[in-house]
Amino acid sequence: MSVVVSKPEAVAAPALEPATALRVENLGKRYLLEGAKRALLSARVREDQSFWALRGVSFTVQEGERVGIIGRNGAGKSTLLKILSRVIAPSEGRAEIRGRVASLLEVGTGFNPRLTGRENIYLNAALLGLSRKDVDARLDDIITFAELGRFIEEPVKTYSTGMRARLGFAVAAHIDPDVLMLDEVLSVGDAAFQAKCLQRVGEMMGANPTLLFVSHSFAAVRQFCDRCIWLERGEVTMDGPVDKVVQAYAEQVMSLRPSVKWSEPARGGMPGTVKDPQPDYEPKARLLAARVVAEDGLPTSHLSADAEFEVEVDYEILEDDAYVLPAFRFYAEDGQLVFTAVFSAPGAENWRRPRGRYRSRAHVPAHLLNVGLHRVSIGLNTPHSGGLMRHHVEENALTFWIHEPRLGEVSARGPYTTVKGAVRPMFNWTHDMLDDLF
Amino acid sequence: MAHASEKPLTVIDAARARRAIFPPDFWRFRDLLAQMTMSAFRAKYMHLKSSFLWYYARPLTITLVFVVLRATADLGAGAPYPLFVLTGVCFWFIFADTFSAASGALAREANLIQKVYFPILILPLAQTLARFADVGLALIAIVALQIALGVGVDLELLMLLPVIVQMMVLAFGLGCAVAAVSLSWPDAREAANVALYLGLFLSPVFYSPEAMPPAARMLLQVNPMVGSLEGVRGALFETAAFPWAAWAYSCAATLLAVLVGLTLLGRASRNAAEFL
Repeated sequence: MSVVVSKPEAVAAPALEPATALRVENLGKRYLLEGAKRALLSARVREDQSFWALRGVSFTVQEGERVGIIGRNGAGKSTLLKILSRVIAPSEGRAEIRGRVASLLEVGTGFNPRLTGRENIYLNAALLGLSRKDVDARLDDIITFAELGRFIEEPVKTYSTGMRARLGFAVAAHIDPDVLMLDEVLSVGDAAFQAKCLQRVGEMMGANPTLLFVSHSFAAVRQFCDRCIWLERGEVTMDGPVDKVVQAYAEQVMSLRPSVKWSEPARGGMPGTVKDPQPDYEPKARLLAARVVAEDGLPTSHLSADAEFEVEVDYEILEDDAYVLPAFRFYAEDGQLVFTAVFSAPGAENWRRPRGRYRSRAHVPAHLLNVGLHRVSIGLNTPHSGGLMRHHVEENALTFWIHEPRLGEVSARGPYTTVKGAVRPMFNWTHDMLDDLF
Repeated sequence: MAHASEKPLTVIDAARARRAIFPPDFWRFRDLLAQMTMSAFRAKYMHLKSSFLWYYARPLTITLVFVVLRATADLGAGAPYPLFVLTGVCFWFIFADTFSAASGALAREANLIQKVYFPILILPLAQTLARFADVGLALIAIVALQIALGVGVDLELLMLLPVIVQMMVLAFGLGCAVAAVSLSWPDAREAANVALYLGLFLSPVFYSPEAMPPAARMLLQVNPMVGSLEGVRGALFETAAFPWAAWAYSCAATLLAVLVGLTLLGRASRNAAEFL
């Protein structure tokens, strides 16, 4: 659902409208290949000595909008962010940004290892354009946030990597920008600190800054952003609501498959790809189609962990009075079997149905599967005392992605960044203070 | 948004030509300049156990060597030879070190330039400012020797500060130029090092221009450091006259160096991150 971006007028460059935080017009960046590097001071570069990392990128961001930028490695994401944070200059085009920009391309950049943590706070903040007075007002918050204790008076060279990351993010997280640009910065630090950083980003979002978040993790983009721009080979492939763009991107990149159809087999032949066919019986049923269905009834490959959904299968029973039950196996990304969903209601045993086409749905409750990629294998079986008669099995028929719920919504991970395990249910906890019991 | 129009507007474009010689947002980053200057100062002195004493090691040994080796009678003019050499050595090396530090400032902070935006002019400027500590240390040694040798001062002492500032600005301007050029032509810094080495002997460090034959003197005057070094001596020592003409030439050369240096650095700044 790509939004068509109109070509900007070349001449007119009117001031930004009040509600516009950022406007990018026809931005392009040409990198010089090694042989042409001497051309820094002379402007002439031959076309074959260069390549365009970014070309013809245009978009407008309103104040308070949270825009994710996704794309594969080398798609131009970081180049775009570097241009917008003025680390490198564009080769063509123009960008206008209103308000104070904080760009966290890499937290902790510019620490002087010989200076103490406290002194480095001032240095780092000055690098982000903050005056000494501004830092003084925030110093206590920064020191508290960094959780460095007495190490704040020690030289930074004695710090561990995690401590440096904490200090760096602590400074960056307290400069109250109008436009915040993040480039995978949240990948540093331990899980508890990451959670704190996420929370802090959420708080900053409460102050309504405009966010530009570059990531190749569409899960993170989906969590933080409400709009998404997909870059591919330096150009905007798609720009729109985060769910739609992320869905299209993930489907291409991860080959997600929210629905599948199986073609009719030749009459009398073996249906589909029956796994482990047992020669002593004719299959009594075959699969027709299957899909993952969201709450709104539409097939989807992207589900939020806090949303319930259904897995739906269409199949045909080939002879009357057949005892055939559908079953789903849910696998995690690493191939681990998470659980098997079988029809288990009273009367399921020896449930005989006439020949015909059927649709069965398994309802998967919210907060069951953990986040990440999941695959579903589908089978039509006849269980019996001796084991199982398989009529038709399709391995990895469906592939979908469970996302972390949007920031601020209920999540079983609580304050943790990640919770390990194949499933992630919500538990009811009770807590008592023991002193009160006696 | 009611206050939206009060927020600063940043414009990023590909325009090459309209680049200001002096970065317009420099003032906003003045705290960074202070931080960077302190940082450069600490890097030089604060990590050594007897930090300031080490500064004297080089000028004192060189002075000693030249005083001992001195062959001809009258290389210096207007001041006792040890004082003459100490002043020359101290200020020549202040100039040379400042120039080297400024020209290497971008490369040293490459990591920073590639990650965060700030006016890169701050880097050579901070290095230059930090070297004023050397000036103070040098003056302590020179004045101490001057008192010990009984050399008085006159009104020309007022020219000391302008001469020192001129010399530092010259070093800064040349450093900026080399820093910018070395981004696309890395050999520039090596060439500059050779030039500095040569300059040690083509400047009145160990000898006075007056001790040279007139033809050589004319040639020597091309070097703007002649006016600076003779100017320092003229300002400090009662016995040495202030070289007004030579120093005026030094000032003109300094102005040219700064303009060229800032222009080159300004042009280089837009894409410095790529070329480091």
